[in-house]
Amino acid sequence: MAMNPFEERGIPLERQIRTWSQVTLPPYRKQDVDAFTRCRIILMNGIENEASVFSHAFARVSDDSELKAGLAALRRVEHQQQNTINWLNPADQSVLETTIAFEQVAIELTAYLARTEPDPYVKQAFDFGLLEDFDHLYRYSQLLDLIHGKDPNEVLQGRTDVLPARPTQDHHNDPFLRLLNHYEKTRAHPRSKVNVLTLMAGEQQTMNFYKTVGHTYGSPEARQLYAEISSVEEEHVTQYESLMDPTETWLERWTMHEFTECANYYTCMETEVDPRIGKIWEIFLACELEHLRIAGDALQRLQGKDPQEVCGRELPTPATFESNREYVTRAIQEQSDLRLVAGGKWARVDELPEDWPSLVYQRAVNADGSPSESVVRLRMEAAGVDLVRAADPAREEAAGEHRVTSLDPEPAANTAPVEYTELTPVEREAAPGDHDDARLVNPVEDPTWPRRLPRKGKGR
Amino acid sequence: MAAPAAAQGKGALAMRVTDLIAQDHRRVREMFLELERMDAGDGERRALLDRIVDELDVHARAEEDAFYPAARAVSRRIDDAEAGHAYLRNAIAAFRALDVECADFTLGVRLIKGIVLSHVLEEESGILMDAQRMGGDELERLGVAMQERKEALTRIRCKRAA
Repeated sequence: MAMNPFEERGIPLERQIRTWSQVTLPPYRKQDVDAFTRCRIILMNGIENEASVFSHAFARVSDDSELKAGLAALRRVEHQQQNTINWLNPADQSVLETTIAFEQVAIELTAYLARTEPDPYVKQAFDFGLLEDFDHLYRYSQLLDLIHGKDPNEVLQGRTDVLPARPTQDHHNDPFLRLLNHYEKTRAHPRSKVNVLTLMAGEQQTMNFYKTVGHTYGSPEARQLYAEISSVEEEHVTQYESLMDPTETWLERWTMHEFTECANYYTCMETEVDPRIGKIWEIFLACELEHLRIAGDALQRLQGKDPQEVCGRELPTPATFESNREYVTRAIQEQSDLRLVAGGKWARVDELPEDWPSLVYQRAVNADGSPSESVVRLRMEAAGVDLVRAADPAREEAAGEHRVTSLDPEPAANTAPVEYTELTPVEREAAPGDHDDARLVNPVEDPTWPRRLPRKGKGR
Repeated sequence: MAAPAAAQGKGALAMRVTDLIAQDHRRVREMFLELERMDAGDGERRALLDRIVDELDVHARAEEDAFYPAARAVSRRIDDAEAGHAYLRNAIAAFRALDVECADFTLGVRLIKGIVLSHVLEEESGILMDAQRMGGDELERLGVAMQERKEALTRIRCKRAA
């Protein structure tokens, strides 16, 4: 039964403050947690992060001290909420394991929102971003195997395939091309507004996370991969925020933020499989209902607008995590060779003009090769094959071919081949085992080094 | 008060309409601050409030007559702005019936000020930015037109008061 949040009563603001021990609840066990519970935790951290970013931006342009105090009062509570949520992630979950989970969030969230999006243009924008995040998961999975010797399915639990989609080396665009056409605030379905804001918030925290944690790995390949993919997430934030109508007033945006928070907590509460975490979603929804009432009252009082006309009367369910494998597979098959062109449009690779603006930027950043290709080559050198995981074995077989054929006209110089047999190992200055050797796999700890590893057909 | 536009003479520096509007906003904000500093029993409170309301009314009418029609070509925010003016007028009408001494007066001032500041924020970060696309000459021409309209509305108001 759908909820009208404007007819519900939340927890009064003065009762929402918690003690430090109530803020820092015990984390989940990474060995036991349901993959989609972890996805919900990551997403809600992103939702609260955007709430904070937005509220500060609003406060900085407002000249109304009463309003600013109100924003600060809500921020204080939402800061606690974000602490609680983000610190449910356990200390023994490595940065790369968390990264894999971030990409699972990006894929499954984007796919669900695309599937349920009422505006075909917004849906197309989501599909486009989906195939980029999907490819990021494949690249980071090579790194997880190389650095930690772990299978991505320890995190993904087989719910999300690990395959190349649109190659990451091609995700780097002229910034003008990332600007899409925005919805019209008076005509857009409220669900579209919630979907766009939810996804933008998710991408924004992913950008910030990669930008913040990429330095924690010593390997140059790992650091460069984080640098490369965080810059793509930066583009994703640009892309999704450009879908929002810029004429939405600050108070409308504030109300829509609180409404979106309600919608996401509500979905989490309704779908959570872990009772302890479910209770957290329930309490935070009750907090957000009050935040929405406060923001809606301000909109009504200061601009004379009915918040229900801005947001609608029914909470959508954006944070629904469920299998999207069929939808994603079709998108990969049909849209991997799409690229951005001027005017907020898309074209096939073979339709791109010779002076396609993104090539200038790609030539610059990929001049020393693409980190997202380096990790594939390294995995091929280490294990004879790149790492792919799919429910359908045929898709694993076709992965290399797909990766190479969907490239744009100027592949990076280090583009990994379809198969290892085509690969000439890169000469290295340092001999294996040297202390200065910058290889990802430490040869001292790797008993297989430098034995030649199995080639094609020996399994991935 | 700025010199009458007609008295500025040929070659005088005309104020862009965007600057004129921002200047009006600053003046009203300062008047609100002055009002809030007055004691509840100060007999001047009602007079100052009346001046604020007059200032807002002249500003809004001049904006609607001389600026918004032209700005509509470059900004999609005019409907919102006009609705904001209408909402403010209704709030002022309800408020003016209040007794200066009653407790609701302070709350009423806070409400009117909040509505004005919200409108100012939207206008300065929205319409006035959009209006830059009109170019300096057009903004100056509109500045003169809006100033003249303000003066005409003020004269009418003075005649009525007399």
